[in-house]
Amino acid sequence: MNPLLRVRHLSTNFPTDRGIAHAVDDVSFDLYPRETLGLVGESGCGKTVTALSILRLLEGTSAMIGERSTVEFGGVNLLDLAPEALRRVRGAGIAMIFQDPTTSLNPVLTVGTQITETLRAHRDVSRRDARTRAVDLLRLVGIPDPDGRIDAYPHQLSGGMQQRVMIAIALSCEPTILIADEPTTALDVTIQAQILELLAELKERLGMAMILITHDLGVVAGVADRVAVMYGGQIVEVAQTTTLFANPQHPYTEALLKAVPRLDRPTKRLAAIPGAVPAATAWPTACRFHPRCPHAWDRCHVEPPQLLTDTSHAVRCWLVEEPQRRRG
Amino acid sequence: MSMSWLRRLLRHRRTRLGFGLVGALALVAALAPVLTPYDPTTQLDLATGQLLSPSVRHPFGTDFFSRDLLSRVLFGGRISLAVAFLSVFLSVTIGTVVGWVAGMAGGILESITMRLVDAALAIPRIFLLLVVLALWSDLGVMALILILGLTSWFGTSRLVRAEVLSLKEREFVVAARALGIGRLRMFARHVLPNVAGPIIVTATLGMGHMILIEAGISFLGVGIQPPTPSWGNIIREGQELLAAAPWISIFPGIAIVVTVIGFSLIGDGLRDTLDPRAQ
Repeated sequence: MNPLLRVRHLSTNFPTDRGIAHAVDDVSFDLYPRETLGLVGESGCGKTVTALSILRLLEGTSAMIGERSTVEFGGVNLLDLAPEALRRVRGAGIAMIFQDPTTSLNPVLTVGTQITETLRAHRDVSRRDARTRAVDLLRLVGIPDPDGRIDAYPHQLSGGMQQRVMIAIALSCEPTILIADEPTTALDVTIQAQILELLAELKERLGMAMILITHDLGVVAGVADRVAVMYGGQIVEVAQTTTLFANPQHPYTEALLKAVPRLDRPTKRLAAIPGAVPAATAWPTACRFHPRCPHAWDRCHVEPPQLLTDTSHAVRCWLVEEPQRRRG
Repeated sequence: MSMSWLRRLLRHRRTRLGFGLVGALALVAALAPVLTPYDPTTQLDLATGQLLSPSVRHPFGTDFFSRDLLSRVLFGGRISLAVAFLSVFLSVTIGTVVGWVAGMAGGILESITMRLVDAALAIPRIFLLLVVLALWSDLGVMALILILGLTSWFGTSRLVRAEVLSLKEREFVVAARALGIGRLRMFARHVLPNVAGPIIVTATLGMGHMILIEAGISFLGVGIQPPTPSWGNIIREGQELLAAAPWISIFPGIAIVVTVIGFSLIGDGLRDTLDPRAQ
């Protein structure tokens, strides 16, 4: 099967006063049709910057995209697309929803206006038809009384309803890929589950592929088919969700999984990863995780491990070559 | 705009007073042809009608050429208010577009534009106007409006640019970009409504400034040319006769003060209502 989206060597750097911040460094991954890929990592590991770089939403900021970077979608490289062609991809080919619905909806426009403007940006539909479609979309995302709510302003809706509206807007032009950047982080736990369920259901129904960005492994376990774990601006491990959870290879993934409280495992104290995420301006040399890694040896300080993207379970760690070095 | 918004705006007595003052002046100026008993430029009676003090027949008195001053002040108000309104409209439009383009474009274009604006702002506006007006003589009213408008948008463009820069970072603008909303639509629906508040406030306060500037340059003799009356050139005509016929300068002077105060009160009220930070 050919991938829908093929990201290769994506690097995004930000010049700062303390040197260049390598926020995303040589990230490569594929997204297949109808698949959900979970992109997991701590704050500042480059998940969001990866998503923003794919849609070129960092243009106009100081961000610099690497010269070798390509984002192949529908046979073209999005990174060299002309502005108008890029505009047509955004929303209609690849749509994106953001973390906080209270800030990602325009406070001065009604919900209906924000849905119809996206529709009309991509499709040649009349105002009236767009409005009818907007009501249908609100119904689709489970908003009660869609005929009434269509004229509501964002502040008149709860956070969960606002996120449903964002989803309705993102799905209005039936994109083939939906990028959801921490779509439930700003919501109450009970609402989180509803929104995730809604996303999973709509993804099935509309036959979309989804990139789900999150720091919550529980979210990934429930929704994603495959998981890519990011650390220090790089992907450190990619595998099928079940494989990753059952058999994590990278010490970072392993540590993350140990840090999650579980009902089936009596724990007095959760395992923490020693140290902190280093600054993006000064990643450790070679393997970026080595200062916090319990298994690290000389090679990890000197020789940067590579990630093989074509195998079904790719790991950026020398333990793959020297498993006898694993401690404990 | 909803009713609650209007109610919030009119909550303060000062704002209501401002609307009252400006509304009354605008109404009287608009109805000047109906309200005034005399033509503002007709010399009524050069033999006995010169420099009459205020009376029932001439509530504001007459000037050196025996023209009825009430008629002149009312017709002058039309000119002064119209010139101020149109030039503020022009300047706010240009300032908004330049600020938006600079803010959205960023990079070299923004730097160049904004440094030019800084340079223009560094020159006192009255000197800028005098230089420009000295280059042309016998300007019509439209030309004056153009010149006033074209020399006063610098501040607005800075303001709009700053607002656009902060809006650009707002998540809903990024979200709208991510959904493929075009540039013009982005400006009209996402940027403009969110910068409308500060723009309306500047425009309102700008009305007061513009009336003063028009009065100032007309007073200096390079603005509206006699016999067409404007508040500024009526004051100028009364200047030499200040001791003998003080009413000639006093009445248009009062009109200017009242208008400027009125616009300032409205502007302050609008700022309190439209600026979310002031609430």
